[in-house]
Amino acid sequence: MMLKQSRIVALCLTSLMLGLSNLSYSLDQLPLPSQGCSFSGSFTQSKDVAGLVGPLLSAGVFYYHCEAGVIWKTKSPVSQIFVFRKTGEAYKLQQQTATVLKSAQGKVLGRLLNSLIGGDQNQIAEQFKITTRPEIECQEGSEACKPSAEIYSLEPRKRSLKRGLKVIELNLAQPKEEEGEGQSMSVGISILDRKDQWTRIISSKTENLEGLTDSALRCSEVVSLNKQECDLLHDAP
Amino acid sequence: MNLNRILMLWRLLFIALLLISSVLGLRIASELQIDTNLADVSPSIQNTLETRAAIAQLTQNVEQRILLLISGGDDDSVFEAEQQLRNRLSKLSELSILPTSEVLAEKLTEGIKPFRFSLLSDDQRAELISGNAEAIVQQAKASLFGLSEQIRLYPFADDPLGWHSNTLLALLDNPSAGLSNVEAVGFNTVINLRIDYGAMNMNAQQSLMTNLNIVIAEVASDYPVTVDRSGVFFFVAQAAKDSKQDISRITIGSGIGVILLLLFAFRSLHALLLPFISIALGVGFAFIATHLIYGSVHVLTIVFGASLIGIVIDYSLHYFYHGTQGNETDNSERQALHRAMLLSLMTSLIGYAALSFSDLQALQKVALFSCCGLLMAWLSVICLGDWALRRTLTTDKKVFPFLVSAFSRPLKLIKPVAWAAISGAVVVAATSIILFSQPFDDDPRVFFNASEALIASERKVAAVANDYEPGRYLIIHGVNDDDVYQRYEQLFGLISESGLFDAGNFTSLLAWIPNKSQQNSDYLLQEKLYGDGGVVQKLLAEISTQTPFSEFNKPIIMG
Repeated sequence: MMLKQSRIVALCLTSLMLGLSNLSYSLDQLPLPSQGCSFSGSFTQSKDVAGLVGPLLSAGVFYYHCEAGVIWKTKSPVSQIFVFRKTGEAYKLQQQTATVLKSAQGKVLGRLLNSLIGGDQNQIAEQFKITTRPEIECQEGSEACKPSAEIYSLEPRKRSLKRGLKVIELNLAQPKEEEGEGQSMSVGISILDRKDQWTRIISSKTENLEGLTDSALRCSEVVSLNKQECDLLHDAP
Repeated sequence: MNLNRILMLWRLLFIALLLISSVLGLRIASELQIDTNLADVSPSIQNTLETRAAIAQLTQNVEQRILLLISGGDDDSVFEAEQQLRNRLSKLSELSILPTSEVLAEKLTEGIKPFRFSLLSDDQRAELISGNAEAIVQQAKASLFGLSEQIRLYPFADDPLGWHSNTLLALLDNPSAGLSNVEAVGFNTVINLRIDYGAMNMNAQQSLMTNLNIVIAEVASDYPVTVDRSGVFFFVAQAAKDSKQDISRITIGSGIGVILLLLFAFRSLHALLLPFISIALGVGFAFIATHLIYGSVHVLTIVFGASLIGIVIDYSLHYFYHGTQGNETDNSERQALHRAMLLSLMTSLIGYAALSFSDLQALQKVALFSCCGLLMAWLSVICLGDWALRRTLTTDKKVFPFLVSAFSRPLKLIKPVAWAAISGAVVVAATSIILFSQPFDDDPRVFFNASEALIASERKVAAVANDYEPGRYLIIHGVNDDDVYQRYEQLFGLISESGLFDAGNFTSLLAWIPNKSQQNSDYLLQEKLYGDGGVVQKLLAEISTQTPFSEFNKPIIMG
């Protein structure tokens, strides 16, 4: 334990001496915890748009299934539903009508959300170059500093991604010690697009939906999702 | 006029031509152009000056354009291979690398920005006419607040609804406009190149081909990619290479044949001098004269010109044969020889000169090349023949007479009536064939036999990249803009009705730039978006009333 603390102090001091922005190193994989195969959660989104004062704020829910894909549903202030299947198909649901997304951006978005929410390490490592630096938190009046979170920069490797975005920053909030193991983890995803506009999403897992049998039924049990959305994801007739 | 005086005149002409061609030869030696332009074997077309200028410009562009397609199993390798290839190609002085399709798309987007209010896609026009403004507000709001699956080409200030981005994307997707960026699909990328110097020059082609082969081979060995080529240049370079081989084959083959024949007939190395001097001077003079008049010598002209050897050699043979028959004081024999040779020259000149009536410039060049070559070779033999015969040549007295008599004896047995019947039958048969089966092929493509690999490569590139080709254009004229549009619509109507062509294969700028009245109408329709109380004002009002969520009051990530 003493050894661990002394390492953290040494890291803090080194960070302060070198300047935080310079202290970054590359990783092969993200330290994503095992999330389970099926879960749901909520998100809030803040989008900077050049020309508008202040960010555009929205909120909604999501559902993830490791074999089926993601339902991303914005509820406020607009209603918008996207279904991104693992197999690559992407749909937009408007007034109970599903439209196939043909644009490359729609498909890229689906692949990105599936790999980030599902913690698909291989997909992420294949698509991005990962670097990290610790976010240091020092208590006021105390010299004790500790890493409160790790910020991971995901720089796209592929041209298809580079065309749309410059970098994705992931903020994997560390569960506080008193919260103990098993506490749900919130993930901050900040996306810098090619026009230097940030979109920041905070997603929090709220419910585990384990059990692979009758996945579509478990999906429709999620509050705010309906049968049509779940059927579209699970390819149910 | 006696023989000596005539001979003096020929010698003066020979010396004059020799001096002039030597001076001119030295002048053109540094700027020698062996041309491989395929247009030379296409008939010239009668057009207006503007059309001809446009076609010439287009042809020049096409001749200079090269496309390299890089394909691979993964995007990264293709991307890195492209970077390396671009880097290597930028060091070749003969080439310019054209901007990528992404850069061109950016330019197009910026260029079209001032005119965005006059453009609408068909769907957008229908949406505005149906007048459902609220739906447009909600779509724009959803796109702003939610996830945006559509690319925004313009910033919010220029396009708050994302409307004009959608117009441009819809227009770019229009297959009739021929602007869709197909290269973005799959793991392919295309490098567009322009040859700045010597696209149709044989020597420059060889140097460029060698350099291209080296850099392409390097990239293909460094990365798991294949590089395919497209462009008239590669076909021309291959045709030039094949022609060069043909020239070598014809020259070496006929040269060896002539040497053997001469050695066999005259049994002396001395007999080789006059034939080879006459061939060298004839071909040299023909080359210089053609270069002087046309500015270059086409490779096909040289191929045809190589066949002159067979005719030119006859002059020396006649001279040697008759020169060894008489004696120096017997002028009548020499006079008869000169007369016969002059007649032979005249018939050959008339035959070759007839080619100049052809519409194909390649044949006109062959006519000039052959006539000049024959004249100079003939003059060489007439003027240098006596000098070559100073050493007595002994002709074969056994084998040749025997061979001639062996061939002619059976023919002499055929009676004149039979000869007449055979000749008549041949004439009738030939006429029937010509009249009924037309066994002629005047397609210039018969001159070229492109390799299967090159054609396969061209097809592969054509499948993923758009580029233009010569000779596939229709120019629509009209008294004013509207007239051009009307005729364009009419033409497309006829094309669709004909069933002979697929209208989708015709691309035109007019497919995505509507006519003036349509542009005015589109502009007025967009008043619903930008006018007082319009969609944009409603959207801005809705955005300003949104209450921020507390979670967003602090920054999420310290960037």
